[in-house]
Amino acid sequence: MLYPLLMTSASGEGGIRCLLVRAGEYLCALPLNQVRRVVATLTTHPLPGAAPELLGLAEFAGEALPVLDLACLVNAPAGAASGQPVTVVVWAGPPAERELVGLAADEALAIVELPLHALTETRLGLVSGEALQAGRPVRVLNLEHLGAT
Amino acid sequence: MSEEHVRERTSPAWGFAILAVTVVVGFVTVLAASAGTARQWLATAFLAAGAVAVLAYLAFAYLPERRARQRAERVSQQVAGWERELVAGLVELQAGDLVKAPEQVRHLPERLAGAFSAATRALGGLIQQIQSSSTDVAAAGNAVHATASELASGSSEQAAAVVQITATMEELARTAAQIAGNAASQADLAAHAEQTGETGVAAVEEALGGLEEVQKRISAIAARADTLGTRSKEIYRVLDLITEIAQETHILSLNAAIEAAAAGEHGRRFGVVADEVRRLAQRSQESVDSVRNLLEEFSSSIRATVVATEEGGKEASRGLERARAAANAIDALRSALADTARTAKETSLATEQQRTASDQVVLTAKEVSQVIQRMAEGLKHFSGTAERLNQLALSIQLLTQSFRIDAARSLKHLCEHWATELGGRGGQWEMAESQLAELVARHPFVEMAFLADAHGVMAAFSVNREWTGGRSAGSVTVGMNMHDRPWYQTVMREGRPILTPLYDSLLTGDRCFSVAAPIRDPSGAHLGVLGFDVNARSWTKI
Amino acid sequence: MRGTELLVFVRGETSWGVERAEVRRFGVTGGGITISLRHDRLRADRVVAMLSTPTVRKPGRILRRFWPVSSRGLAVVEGQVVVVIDPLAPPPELALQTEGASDE
Repeated sequence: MLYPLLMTSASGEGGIRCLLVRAGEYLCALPLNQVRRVVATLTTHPLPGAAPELLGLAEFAGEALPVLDLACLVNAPAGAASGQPVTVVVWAGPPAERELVGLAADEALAIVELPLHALTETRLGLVSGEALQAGRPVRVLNLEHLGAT
Repeated sequence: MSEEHVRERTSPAWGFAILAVTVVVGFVTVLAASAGTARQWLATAFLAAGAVAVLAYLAFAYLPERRARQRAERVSQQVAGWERELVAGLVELQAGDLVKAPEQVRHLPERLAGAFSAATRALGGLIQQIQSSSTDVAAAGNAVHATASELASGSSEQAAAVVQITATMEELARTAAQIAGNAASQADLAAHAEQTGETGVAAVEEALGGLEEVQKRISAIAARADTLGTRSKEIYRVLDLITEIAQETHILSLNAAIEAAAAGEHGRRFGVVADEVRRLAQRSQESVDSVRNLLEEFSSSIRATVVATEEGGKEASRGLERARAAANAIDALRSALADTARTAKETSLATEQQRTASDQVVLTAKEVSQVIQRMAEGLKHFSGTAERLNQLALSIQLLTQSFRIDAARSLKHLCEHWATELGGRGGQWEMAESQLAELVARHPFVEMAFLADAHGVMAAFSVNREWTGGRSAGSVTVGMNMHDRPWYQTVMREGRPILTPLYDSLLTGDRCFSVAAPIRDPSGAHLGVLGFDVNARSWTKI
Repeated sequence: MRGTELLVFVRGETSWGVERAEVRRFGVTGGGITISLRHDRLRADRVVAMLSTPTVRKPGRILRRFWPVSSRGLAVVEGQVVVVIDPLAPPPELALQTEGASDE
């Protein structure tokens, strides 16, 4: 399922611009057209009985924003605590029903452009493919899949 | 009897008178015959006168004289008998037998016998009184001897104790002298130490001044380091602020890039700017990190300096405290040494006085010792006197026992009594041993009782176990010959109880004397000799 | 849902809201507050405020996926996110314990 997204958002040079973030020990690439905003870590209010991926609710732009733990979503092992933790506000879910969701990451690194030939489709799910960035593997996320039950 | 004596004295006068008359008459007749008177008448008258004269002589001279002579013979015989009895009684008396003596004079005239018996009884009473007195004297002598011995023993112990006290006091005096010497040395040392302590206090005070200066300098360094630390913190805060700004710039650049991407082609140039901003933010962050690292090193050095100065300050404080404590201790020590010196001087003085007192005590103890020694000697003398008194009493007792009187305390009488008892057996000595045993048992002062038969052979004997302590009689055996023993010979010779002089008992080793008496059967036949040995240590129990 | 008056209260680390019309009375129990609704009773640590006309938005699919609890929606009040409960099916965490509460 990389392709529709990549096709729609691909640059003319046959690459995909992504926001590179670190979640635990993993580097994750969030397609830039699905990123709404990067903010310093939002204060969340936990919800009793919630799944472990849901950190809680935060206020963003006057609205309640569910915040998910990205490392937990991609099953990343715990990494270094250095850097500035951020909440990346993204559009998630199918395009027709997309909604804003916060993804808590350990660090927002940069805007990168991943060449399409470097992408490897892995499986159908949140992590739709992998690529190498400066010699390190990067997991490319398909945020449309996040709303799937 | 006086009239008879008068008649005896007048009878020869009558005879001489008749004889004179007859001679006168005959002379007259002869004269008449010569004158020529009748011869017949004259012869008749002469014969008649002669006959009358003979008759008168017979009647008035011869016969009374004969009767008087016979009467005188009878009186003489009676007197001789009395004399014999008296002599016999006196002989018994001389032998000391005041029991037999009165028996010997029982035929004397009543007044004479009564006077003899009274004299004998008086003598017996005197002897008993002497015996009793000698016993009392001996008892008193023994008591004095015992007391003197006890006192002598006590005084000996006392003397020994005094000697010990003297030795102890002398030792004490020597120790006191030593203590006094030591105390004096201690006082000198303490005085010297006090001076040294004063020097030490001055040195420590100087060290204190130096340490206080060091502490001040360390405090100044610590203040500088603290200031540097404070400044470093401020720099950190600035760096944090720069970091925060860089991070916000970073996020801002990211958001700008996101917005530029959303703007599509129109936002491309904006995106380049955003990326430049992001790079700038990144470089800022890198610079901040570099500065932070440098600052970390700097802060680390400052912290090390602070720690070192703190440690130095603490060490200086501790050194200061120790120096102050040392100063206080030295001061206290100096004070204590001053006290010690004073106390040592006092001790020296006190021990000197103690030594003087000890010397006086030693002198006094020696005097006491001499007094005790003299007292002991006096007591020994006293004890010897008491012993001699006892011996004297024993001698008196033996002298009195040489008399046999009718009293229980008369040993001769006692021996005679038991001899009479044994004599009743008529020379059958089978049961004599039990009788001797009874004798020994009833008279605890007897060491041994023995019986020798008429041939001087030991027939039986009995030993007082209390005296021998369970030992056997040794060489004394039944059948041994006692014939040559002086006591046997004396008894056999004199036939009366005897008392031997004092001699050493073969049985006990004590001084003793023996009492022996002849054994006779009821007819008076001699059967043997009974004797017993009296221990001189217990003669007062007689 | 707009113009509804909400009673905001805190239970645990979360702010909760219930429509004012549902609330009957309050009670005090050991260390907490009992809120009697028309059909149920809730337990609260403290009552924050009574607010009028907040904007309540229904929870999205993603939230429901990770928090499958029935609610009327979410509101933001003075920077605080408030979960507006369904008075007919309140979350189990708000249920009153068995110990009795004394009604005022």
